[in-house]
Order: sequence, then C-alpha cells, then structure tokens
Amino acid sequence: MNIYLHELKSNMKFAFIWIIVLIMLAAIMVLMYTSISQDIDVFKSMLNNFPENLRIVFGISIERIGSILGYYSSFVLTIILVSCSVEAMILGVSILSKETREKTADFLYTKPISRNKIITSKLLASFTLLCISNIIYTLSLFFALSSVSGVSFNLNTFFLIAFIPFIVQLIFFTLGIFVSAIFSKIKAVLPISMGIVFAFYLLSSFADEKLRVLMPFKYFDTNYILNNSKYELSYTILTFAIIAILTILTYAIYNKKDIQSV
Amino acid sequence: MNVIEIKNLTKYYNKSRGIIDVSFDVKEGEIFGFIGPNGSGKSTTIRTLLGLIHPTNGEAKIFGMDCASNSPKIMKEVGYLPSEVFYYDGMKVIDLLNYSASFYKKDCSKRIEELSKIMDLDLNRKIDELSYGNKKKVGIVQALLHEPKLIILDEPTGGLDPLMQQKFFDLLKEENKKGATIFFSSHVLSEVQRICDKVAIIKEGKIVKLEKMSEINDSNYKRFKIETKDKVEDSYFQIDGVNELKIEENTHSFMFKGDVNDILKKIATIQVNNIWIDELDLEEIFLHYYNKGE
Repeated sequence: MNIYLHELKSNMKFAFIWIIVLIMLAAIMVLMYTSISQDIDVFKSMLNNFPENLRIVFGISIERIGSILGYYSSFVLTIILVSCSVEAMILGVSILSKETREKTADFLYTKPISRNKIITSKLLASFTLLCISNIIYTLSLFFALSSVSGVSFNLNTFFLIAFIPFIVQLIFFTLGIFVSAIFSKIKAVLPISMGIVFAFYLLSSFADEKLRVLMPFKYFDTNYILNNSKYELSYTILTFAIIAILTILTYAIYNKKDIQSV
Repeated sequence: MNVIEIKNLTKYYNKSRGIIDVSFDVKEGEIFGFIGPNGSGKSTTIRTLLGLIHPTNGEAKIFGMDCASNSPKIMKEVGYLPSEVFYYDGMKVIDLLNYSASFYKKDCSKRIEELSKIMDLDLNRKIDELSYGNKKKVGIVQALLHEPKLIILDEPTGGLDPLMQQKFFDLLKEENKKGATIFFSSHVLSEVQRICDKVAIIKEGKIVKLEKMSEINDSNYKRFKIETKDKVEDSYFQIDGVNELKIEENTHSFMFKGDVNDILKKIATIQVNNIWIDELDLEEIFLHYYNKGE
C-alpha cells in the first residue's frame, strides 16, 4: 500500500498534464466540427483532393465525417490514440526502470518486501492513474459532444469508441513495462517510448491489412463499431491475451533480474 | 550462531568476474570488516547478501535463510547503507524516513528523532538540497531506524567529517552492544582497524585472508630491519614466517609473523650493528596480501 500511494503521488503530475493535453486536443477538434458541419460538402470535397495515402495515415474516412461520432472516430481518435499511447508507454517504460535510473533501487529493493509486491503496487498505481485519466477524458468528451448543438449519438457506440484509448493504453503500458524488464538500464525513456509508438502507428498506416495482428491501433476498427455497436471478438481476445502475456513475462523477468549497482 | 554464512559464492556478470568461490561466516554480535580495493568484489558480495543479485554458484545465507529466495523475510531485520545514497527527488528528509519506516511493521518515529539528533540532521530539508555528507546521514538514519539485527555498511564513511565519523562509530558500537551484528565493508583500513573484531580481505574476487582483528593487532606482524657488521648470506633470514625479504648490502629487512623467539635466535648468533622492529598497521598487512598475488 505504501509503494502504491508513493507511486500514485509521484506520477500524479505527469498524468494530470497528459489528461489536460488530451482534453484540449479533443476540445479543439470538436470545436472544429461545429464549423465544419455547416459546410460539410465543401469540406468533403476538400478532403477528396488530399492524396489518398495521407488520408489513410490520418485515418480520415470521408463517408463517415457527416455524423459527430463518425467525425470523432475518423478524425480525432487517431491523434488521441497516438498521444495517449505515448503517455501509457512512457509510464510503462519508466515505472519500474526509474528506480535503477534514479539510483533509488538500492533503497526500495532492500526493503522487506518481495519484488512481486513492488511490481504489483507499481502496476496498480499506473492502472489507477490510467483509469482516472480515461474517466475524466470520457466525461469531458461526452459533455463536449453533447454540447454541439443539433447532434445526437448512440450512447452505446459512444462508450465503445470512448473506451478504445484506454484499452490501447493498456497494450502500450504492458509493452512498456516489458521493454523495461528486458533491458538492464534504460537511460532515455521518451525517445524509446515515442519511437516504439510511432513505429506501430506508421505500420498501421502503411502495411497490408493481413498484418493487422501487428497493428494495435487497428484492433478496434471504428467502422466495425459504428456499424455493429460492438467490438470484434477475436481482436478483443487478442488484446487481453497480449496484455496478460506481457504482464506475466514482466513479473517472471523482473524476479530473476539482477538489480544493477549504482 | 552464524548470522551470515557464505559458501563457495561465485558471481559472474556475463563473462566478467564478480566474485569467485567466496566463503566465510559472520557470527552473531561480531563487527566484521570486509576490506578490498575498488572492483575487488565487495559490493558484489553485499548485493548478493541483500538479494539484489542472484549468485551464479554457491549460496549466501542470513539468519539461516537463503538470501536469493527469502530476501523479504531476511530484510525485516537488516539495515543497509549503500556506498552512495540516492533518494527520491522532491521529498523531504522526514517524508523519506517515514516512507522507509512504513516498510517495517513497527513504530519508528521515536528512533528517527533520536538518530537524527545524534547525527545532527535537519528533518525538514528537501533531500535534493542536501550535501553529499548530509545525504549520507539520511542513509545512516534510514539504515538504523528499525533497529535491525544485522547492519550492512558499504563504504559508510565517505562524505562524513571526522567528528561525524566518530559519532557514527559510537552509534555503531552502541548498536553492537545492544546485540546487532555489523558487516562493515571498506577500503579505508584504519577505520576497519578502529572498529572491527574480525576482518576478511578480498582481492580480485577472492578472499585472500580471514583473520581476527585481535590476532592481527597482537603484534604478530612485525617489520624487521637489521644491519649486520659483516655480510651474512642472503638466505640467512629465509625461515618460516618471513616475507618480503629485501637485502641491501649489510641490511636485511623483512616482515615477520610467528614466534618472535625464532627470529631472535637467528639474530643472536650474528653481529648486529643496528636493529629496527616495527609493528605493522593493517594497511601494510593489506598491501602485503595484496602484492603477494595469491
């Protein structure tokens, strides 16, 4: 419990800054929608003039842009997903490795507490922060979308779409802790985190659909969700399998790991 | 009863040497000195004891429990002061100490107050603002606040001024009197000589000498320098117990450990012009073991 609270406290600022950034991003995009929706045909024809590849990279789908959830999921979500994945990845890479990097490992790991408990406390603290961030984000988004005059949307679909960043964050968070487990010393958290997230993002944008298994950003296809009001079962299972495996591996590796001296 | 038992402990970092086949015991109530230069394997041994690293071979036990598998249980009664202390940025001294205390299931607040008073430590300062020596004091209080039965110190005096060192040593002696066993690693020999009952010397990952401090101090080690009237043959003093024999003209100098009568008998049968007999301090003994290359 003491480690949990300590981690919660020391990462609060980080999570707070990210949530502000995410909300501002979403707010700006939603504000844009109110002006776009008035001239939706002009906007569509403008998008049509964009090179197709560019549209794919940004996940823009012209057909869906008319409705608010369609606009959100094709225009805003991509940016939100990449940003919040970077946040989760940074948190994941740093939460365990910072003890060695900041040389506090000799303090923490010589306390009468097992490594499993240390890892669990840190994971729970991160999980709590991600949960709170996403609740705040989803509520803000809900109010922002509701405030746009003259639109209505399916609540179920809204929550399914609003929940996507959280699940994708969990994938990148567990990937982050796994990366920090296999490398003995990580000096630069930010470049590693951003590098990995952007690599996956670019892969999602350019690679063949056949490689969808390797594209966490495409596990939750918004077209499918908008049409069916549910997630694809196979990719949902895959997501939770990845999260579980990475977490278990992290525990296994960290327990055998030598804590490097300062 | 043995508090620490190390048997054939070996640790390799990939292929580079950490320690090789280290064995020794530390008995309850002992102040045990662990001496060696930088890179000799002191910290590797300590980190294995603390369960921070896993041995390649052999075993280390504290309170009869295996250090690799029972670390959380063992650490309840162990206090550790690392050679360099680093703590979380942005925390006040008292917050850090309370955080440290929260890991032990007892109330340490009184002890924190006592210790910081002795060590002259301001509890309300931020840790990042502290000097090296003051950070070390935080480390000392942090290591002792739960009144551990075994205190492990890795080069503990760096950064402390002589007055603080004295206070720190007094504190250790007091803890020792109360029953705590102390494992004291250092490359500063005089401080080990000052406080320890027993000493192990480690060199290039191997223990080269394990001896009671009293035996070392019992003037068993002497440095002889003998100037003879006539030249005596080079091998004249080459008897058991003689080391580092150096001969310059009519002067023979060497280190001797053993029955002094043996050497005096040798001296009595030759004509001596002058003679110097000095005691060795630990530093010289250490250098002696260190140079011998075994």
